[in-house]
Parts: sequence; structure tokens; C-alpha cells
Amino acid sequence: MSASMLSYILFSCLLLSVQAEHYCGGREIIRYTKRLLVDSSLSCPCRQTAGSSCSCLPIPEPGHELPCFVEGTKHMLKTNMSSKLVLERLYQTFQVQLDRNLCESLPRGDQCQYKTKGTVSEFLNTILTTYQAMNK
Amino acid sequence: VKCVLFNEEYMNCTWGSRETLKANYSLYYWYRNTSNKVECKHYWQDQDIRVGCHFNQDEIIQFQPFHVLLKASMGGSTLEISKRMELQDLVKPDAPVNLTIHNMSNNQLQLTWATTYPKAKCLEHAVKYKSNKDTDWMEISVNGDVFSLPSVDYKKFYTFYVRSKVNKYCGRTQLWSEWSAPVVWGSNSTSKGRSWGCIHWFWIQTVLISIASCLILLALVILLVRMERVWVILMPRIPNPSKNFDELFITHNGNFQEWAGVPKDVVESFKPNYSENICYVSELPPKDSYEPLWESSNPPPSVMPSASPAPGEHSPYKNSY
Repeated sequence: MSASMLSYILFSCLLLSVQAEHYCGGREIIRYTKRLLVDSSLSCPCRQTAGSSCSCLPIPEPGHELPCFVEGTKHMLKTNMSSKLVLERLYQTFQVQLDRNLCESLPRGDQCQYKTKGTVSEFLNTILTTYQAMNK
Repeated sequence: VKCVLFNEEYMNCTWGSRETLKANYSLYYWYRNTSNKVECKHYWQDQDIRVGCHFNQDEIIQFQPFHVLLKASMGGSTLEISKRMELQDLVKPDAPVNLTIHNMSNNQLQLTWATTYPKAKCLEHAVKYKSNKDTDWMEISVNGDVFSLPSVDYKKFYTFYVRSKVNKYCGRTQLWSEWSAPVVWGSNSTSKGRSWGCIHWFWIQTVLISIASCLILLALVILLVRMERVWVILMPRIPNPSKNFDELFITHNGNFQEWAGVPKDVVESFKPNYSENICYVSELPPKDSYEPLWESSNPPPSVMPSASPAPGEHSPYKNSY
């Protein structure tokens, strides 16, 4: 392999790695989240007593969104839901972004920090709002 | 309290009109990350009653929970109404501008437009159009800023409108912009005028062509009649030889030789200069069986030389007996 070819390959890898750091997958995540919001069969992932509200998913503090999204989608996967494939895809995307630091727009906090917990709808809307802000 | 963020330039929050409630209103607002409540700096007033609040661009923060607290005090008592909003979901873009139609190949039209919204990639659009022959409008969703209409009819007159909305990748608003100013393509007349013009022109064409055809035909007929040479060729006369013989019967009294111009000596030469009696001849039977051949009671015809011709009758045969 000639020196020029090697330098070309190295430069391409560098360029791709730089681009990968900016990959947030905002449009894809927004599409999946909206699909889940429309799905009325989403049940409460919490073991709550009768009469209590189903608010057990973390609503993250600013700067700790990704860890909370990972934790929340993981919690939802434990229940039997019809949109399990979409949830699985979301969970994997958040996990990869967190592990590989792919999205610079999202601060990379190590642990999920939240002030309140919310329902499935509130949690999904938080995901939606976070990635819409990045798109805009 | 209802708030609308106009084209991300300013925001108006309103809470009613003078007719609904007559009280002293005060609006306070804050965002999630701030603890201090801030009072509205620019109130809308309707005859001394505060009915709304105007926010400048620097007072607007999207993607942070926006809280408002409306205080209504009347007669010593105060009523408080609080509300939490996401301002990115309350954006109403301005209507698209600069609508332009381009004629493409294969009878295709292309409509383009521009927007004053600062983030054009966050918009989705809707195009509304119909022709002068249609009764209902067609509304099509468009993601980019180009709309193509295939196979247009050049005899029709089309009108187009466009409006915009923030798409799902930038917000959750349901607020469409106002419809843009229309752009038209096709004939430059109104639909009624155009149909009346078509009928009018149809009748003019029909009448003119009919009159012109009749005039041409009439001219040809007149020319035909006037030009006997052409008429005779088309309608040859039946030959009438009587005229040729008028001289024979009128002038020469039927004397053919005289009319024909036969010389007199030739005419005289044809006259006989001898007379000859008519001799009747009959066959007699043989002697042995001399019997009258006839058996009837009719007398036998006499064998006699014929009489001489009547006097005065010119006969070449004189009585030689």
C-alpha cells in the first residue's frame, strides 16, 4: 500500500470519527418517540397500588438527560409492551450515545439526576423536547 | 391565558376582552431556571382594561418551561390563574412570500416560495390550488420548498396558495401560518369572462364562416352566368337544326336543289326528255289447259295497254300507241 493511499485512509477515518461525534440521531429518535406517544397501549411500568398515579420514570435535570433516558427506557422494557421493538431501538441508541459520547450537543453526565418522576407520557415528551431543541 | 409566538420575533399573551371580565389584571412570568417572577412590561389595553401582554424577542426562551401567573383583582378580592407552557409549541410562522411559478417541460409546473422564518429547515408546508374548472380546492403537504404539478391544462386558469407550520423535528405546534398571497397561472381573464368569451368567439366564427362561404358561392355563380364561354362548357346547348333549314323552307319554298345551290343545267339534266307508258304485263297459262286461272266470280283483269298519262302531267313516257 502506497504512502498516499495510507494517508487517504487515515484522513477518511479521522473525518468519519469527527462526524460521528456529532451524530445525535435527532430525527430518528423523534420519530420513534412520537410513535410511542401515539401508541395508546403503553401501560404503566411501575408497580403501583391501585388508585396511585403511575409516575416512576425520571424527568432529568439539565445536563443529565442521556443517563436518565437510558434508565427510563430500560425500565419500560421490563414491562410487556406492544411497541417493544421501538423501545429496544430507543434504548440501544441512548446507550450507544452515552457509551461512545457520540452527541456533543448532549452533556455527558455519568448518572441520572432528576428532581421529579413522571408518567410515561411526561418522560417521552421530555425526550421529544430535548432532541427538538438540538434540531432547532 | 393564550400565548402565540409570531415567527419567533415577538409573543402576545391574551386573557380575554373588556366585555368578559372587568378587573385589574397583572401578569407575571418566569422560566424553569429562574426563581424571580417578572411582571409584563408591555400590556395590551382595551379602554383601560388590560387584556394582554406583549413580549419582545429577548424575553422569549424556547425549550424551557414557561410559567405565567395572572392576577385579577376586583373589589378587594384577587383571583390567580397559573399556567405552564412550552413556547416552542406555540410558534406561528409568517405566511410564505415570493411565490413563483416556473414552466417546466412535459406540461409541468413548478411552484417555489420563500419564508421569513429564521429556521427554514424546521418548516413543513401545505399547497392549496384549483383551476377555474374545478369546484373544490386540492391541498397537498410538502416538506421542501418546491411543489411540482404535473400535466397542467393550458386552457385552464390555476390559483395557488401556500402556508407553513413548524414540523415535528422542531416542535409540537398545531398552528399553521396564514395563507400566502395567491399566485396565478393560465389565462388572464376571470372564469366567467373566459367562458363567455369562448361562446362569443364560437358564434362569431360560425357566422363569419357561413357568410363568407355564401358570398364566395354567390360570386362564383355570378361569374359563371356572366361568362358564357364557361357556361356553355358546363351546360352545352342541345343542338337545334331547325334554324339551319329556315332558309330552305322560308326563302326557297322547300326547293332543295335551289337551296342546295345545284346549278340549273344540272337540275335540267335530271329532267327526263322522253315519255314512257306504263305497260301492265301478266302471264298467260299454257294452251292445253286454257282455263282461267281464277275460280272466283271476279272478272279477269283485262290485258290492255295502260292509258296515257293525264294531260299536264309531266311524264317522260308519251303514249306511243
